Amino acid sequence: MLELREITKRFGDVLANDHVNIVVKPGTIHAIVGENGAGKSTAMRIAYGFYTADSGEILVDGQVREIRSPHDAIALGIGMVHQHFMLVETMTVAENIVLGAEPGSSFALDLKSAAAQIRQLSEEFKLAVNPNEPVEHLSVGQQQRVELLKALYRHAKLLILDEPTAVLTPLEVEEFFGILRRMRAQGKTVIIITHKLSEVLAISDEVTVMRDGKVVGGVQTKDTNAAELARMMVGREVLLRVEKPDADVGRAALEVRNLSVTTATGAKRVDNISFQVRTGEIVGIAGVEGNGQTELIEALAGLVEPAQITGEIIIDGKNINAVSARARRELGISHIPEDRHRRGLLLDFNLAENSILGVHYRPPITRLAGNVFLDDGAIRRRATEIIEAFDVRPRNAALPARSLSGGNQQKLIIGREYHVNPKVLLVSQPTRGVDIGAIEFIHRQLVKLRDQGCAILLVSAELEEVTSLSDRLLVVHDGKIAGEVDPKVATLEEIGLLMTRGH
Amino acid sequence: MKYKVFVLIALLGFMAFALSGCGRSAAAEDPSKIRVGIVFDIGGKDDRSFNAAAWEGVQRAAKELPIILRDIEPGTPNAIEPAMRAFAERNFDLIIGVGFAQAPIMEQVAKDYPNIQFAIIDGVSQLPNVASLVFKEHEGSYLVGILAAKASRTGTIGFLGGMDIGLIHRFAKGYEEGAKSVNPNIRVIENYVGVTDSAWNNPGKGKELSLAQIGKGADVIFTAAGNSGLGAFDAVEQQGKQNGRATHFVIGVDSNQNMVKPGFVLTSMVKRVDNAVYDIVHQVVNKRFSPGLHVFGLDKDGVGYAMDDFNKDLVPPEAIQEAEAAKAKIIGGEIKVTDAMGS
Amino acid sequence: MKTLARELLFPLIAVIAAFVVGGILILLVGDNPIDAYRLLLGSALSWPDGIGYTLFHATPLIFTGLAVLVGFRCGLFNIGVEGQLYIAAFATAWVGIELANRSSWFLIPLCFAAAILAGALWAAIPGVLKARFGSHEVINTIMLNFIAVSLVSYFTQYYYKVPGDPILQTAMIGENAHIPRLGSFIPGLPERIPLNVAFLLALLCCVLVYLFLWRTKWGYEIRATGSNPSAAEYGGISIRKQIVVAMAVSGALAGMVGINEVLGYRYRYYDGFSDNYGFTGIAVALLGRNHPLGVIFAALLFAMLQHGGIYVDGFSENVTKDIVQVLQGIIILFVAAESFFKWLVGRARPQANQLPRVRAVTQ
Repeated sequence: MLELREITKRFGDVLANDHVNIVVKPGTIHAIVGENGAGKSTAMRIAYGFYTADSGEILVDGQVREIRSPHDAIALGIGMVHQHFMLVETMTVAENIVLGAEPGSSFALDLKSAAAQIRQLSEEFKLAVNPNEPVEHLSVGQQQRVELLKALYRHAKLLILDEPTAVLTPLEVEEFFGILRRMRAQGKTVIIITHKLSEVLAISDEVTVMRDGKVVGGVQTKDTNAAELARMMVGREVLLRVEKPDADVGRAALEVRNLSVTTATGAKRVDNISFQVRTGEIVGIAGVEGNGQTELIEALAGLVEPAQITGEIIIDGKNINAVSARARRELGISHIPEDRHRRGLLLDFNLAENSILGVHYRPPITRLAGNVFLDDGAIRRRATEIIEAFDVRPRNAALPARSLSGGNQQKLIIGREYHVNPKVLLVSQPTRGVDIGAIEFIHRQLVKLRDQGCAILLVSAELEEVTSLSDRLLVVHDGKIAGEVDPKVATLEEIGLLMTRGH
Repeated sequence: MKYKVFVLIALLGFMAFALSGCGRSAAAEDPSKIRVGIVFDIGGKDDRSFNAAAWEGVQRAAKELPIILRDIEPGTPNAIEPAMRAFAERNFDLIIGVGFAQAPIMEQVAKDYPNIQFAIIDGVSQLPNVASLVFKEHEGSYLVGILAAKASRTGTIGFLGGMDIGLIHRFAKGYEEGAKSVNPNIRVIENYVGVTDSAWNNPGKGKELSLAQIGKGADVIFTAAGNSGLGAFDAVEQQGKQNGRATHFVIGVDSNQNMVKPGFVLTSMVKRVDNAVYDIVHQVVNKRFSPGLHVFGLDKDGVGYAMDDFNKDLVPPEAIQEAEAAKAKIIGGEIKVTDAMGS
Repeated sequence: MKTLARELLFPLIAVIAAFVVGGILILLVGDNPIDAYRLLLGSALSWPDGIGYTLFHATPLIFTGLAVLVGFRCGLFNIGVEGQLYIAAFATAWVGIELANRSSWFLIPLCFAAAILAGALWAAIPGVLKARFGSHEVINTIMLNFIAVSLVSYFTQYYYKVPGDPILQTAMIGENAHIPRLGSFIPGLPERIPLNVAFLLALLCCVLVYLFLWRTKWGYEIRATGSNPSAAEYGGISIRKQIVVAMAVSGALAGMVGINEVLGYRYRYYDGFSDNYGFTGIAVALLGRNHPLGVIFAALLFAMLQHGGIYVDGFSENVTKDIVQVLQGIIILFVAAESFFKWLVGRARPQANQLPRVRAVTQ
């Protein structure tokens, strides 16, 4: 169906695709996996005409084709669904789908027949999309299906999906895979770009693994397993499951009593939550994103106006509701934020400057004249310690944080927050957008900190992560705790049910 | 890539073109000629009023006399001194400063260059190398006051001043006395645009004040407000005409402004800055420069009212006769117009 | 070194490009651009008048450039520098008049303090308004400009003018408040040139601002707030406090313009003295790439244009001083259009480098 031959693409100094060869057979689901920056997306964008290859050729149905723009690709029956949906929120599904491919005569817009056609397609693939619904009323999962319909409406025989499950809840992922299987049954070909190995194994027929811009392997899914794929992606053995001893639990370090958090506009996001985190344990919080996790962690970290909080936050027996973020840090609370670009890093500052955020105002970082001046030597030492202990690459403290990959940025943040020997650690989405090799490292570090007696509260949208790391697991739904489960025995289905249905 | 090359070539081409120049060297300066430099006020030479009049005077001199003329518009208060010094450094023979604000600066510069002759318009200096060119604005204002009182049907007239300072009070007082000499019961409404430099440059407020005066019955408005005065012109034009004659009139100031809104401008109280400037250049050319106070009153035609084709139908001969009679009496000393600045 | 060269590249291109375009305009009005530029730069750099006046004109621009820079580094756009420097200049003159008979050792530091404090307090108003109520500093500083200018005019007109003086200016300050002109200790520089100690103060401020922003914890907090307020807050930094502090520091720097003007040049407050120093300061900060060293160079350049422009206006055939405004405008335009030059020079960053970043945000 689609073949890339010796595709090479260079961006400045970066060789994004280096003689890439991929063969996608018709009627299959083909997964392309690799770490961030491995060149997966670049290769697919070349196939879709977003970029032109510096050399190499593209064959569609066995014929060499020149694809200079997405327009060419669509004409050849290739459709692509991006991570960021390209939908006009205020328009209806049908209007969005027809946009750019208006039916009928070039003057009169025949929306009615388009809607009928869309309804038919929707039924054929069981997409359950109402063509007359405005897009803004749809859930994220439904919007994704609109994007699929858009491609199908343009008679795509081959669909390229870029990280399609990143935005979906576990249940939605299952539904989505059902759709893909139906498409395959109807003779469509699907390419799915991802870095989640469980999904690759669950859905694909064949896998192409990329690393550093090269194809490092192509296998039949049934002949492989997660460990092998991970090894190919990273280039070395990777431990996928976290090995951890039983928790050695002590007294309650962090306690939350009847905590509620409202937004500045008055919407209640955390609704009467109570729990404890004891020293030496990891308490996980599972839940579909947007169910109050962000607000909970920010409230605990002191980043929410006290007026928006009711209930009690207690550290070592003391109520800290009115204590500032800085004073909370001094009490031994560290915080690895969910959004490292918005909260965690000063992207334009260099690594050394980032390594002191939160302790920049006191010795040993400051000195002279009542501790006003920054001590460059102390800053450099601290940065070097963090960079070495957490293997941040490149090992150059003078580089701006912006220039690092996501995984290395995350390692820098974690290193910084570990460096103060926290008593309580608030962790949100620690491995989001992080390469598989770094994930393993980050997980081991969390367990290590736990074993040193730190009380850790872990929020993650990755169910596997939160179940394998946590000693106790709270499931939240709509700002409330929907239940507590034992992560060692609970099944993903059980947890998923609590996440989506509440009690 | 092609675009980049094209843009680069275009830029280089421009540069080459610019640098090659057309090789026209500056006109060689004749050393025998007298060199005159003029430094304008912040307003600049195109203000259609005070600066424009000075500019007209030096230009006339440049045409008729053997001089080399250079001018600088400083644009900002802190550039006035370097501008004056730029001329002094180059040994200009005469440096003219326009406006009273330049007086203290000229005082400084003239001290440093005793061999160079200076002239200041509207300002006064005691230095032996500075000529102070001042005007008897009150005398001219007296005459337009007469014309205003003659033209008014309501018995109420207005005065719109720019900045609320002594110099402008001089216009107001003379105007009032002139009007009262015709009609002792006449009412004069006096308003000022402001107290800062911007008062000279706020036609919007000038118009509002004029409309307010019209609202109180004024049908002739004398404006001494620089650019702000143009608001008064708009205000009277807005009142329209009846039977082909304007119902309300404005009196212009400094330059002849009769043509600004023909039919609505009764006359202009002209301050012959051009004549004064021309005179001083003439003196320097003929080596007869005299420092000290040069007062331009009605006697030397330094002030007056403007009559031309634009307003000849607006002012009846009888009014002109009365104004001319008053003029003769002022020159003769029979009428003493109060000088609000008291000098 | 490499980064320094890169930082300098675009401002330099902007200046050269501006001169090229300006040259074309000069040709169009019928003069020789080389002669005009020679006149412009020659008179701005002649000794002693050119250099003396250029440095004198540069002094307020260094102060205002630094003021804008400090605001920018905290993510604030202080358009109120103009108003702040008026208030400060008046406050300086006020102290200099009221306490005219005190000794220099007492009076001069007090006048300095008046300039600095008045500027800082005036600028702190929009800072507090933003920190407390979230109202936008751009709008508030613009409004306060009007208030400041009118306020000092009012006090000058009705309380501090010498009766009968047609010029809107205060009485003279006491002789003891005068700060020395550099001509009094630099041989060959006549004392009539108003270049004074305030210029040295401006240079000192560049060093101090550098140390403050990059070498102290306060500067770190201000820059962190400007770079990413959310992350600063996360790091335990009070954003509200930084906003007020940065505005006050910015205003203090703006206020020092009053020292140059009142204590070093006119020895009185002269209404309307500022040649839009506050607004030119924005251009100076931009061209100087928000770095104190860059601010010095940018201020010198603008001062050269200003002083040389007087000569171009007076002694070229057809070119007027407007050419200076044109040059300034084009420089700013080109600095703003930096990405165009990046494209032209072919330094556009590879898109591939940016992709992971965008992805990480959305994943």
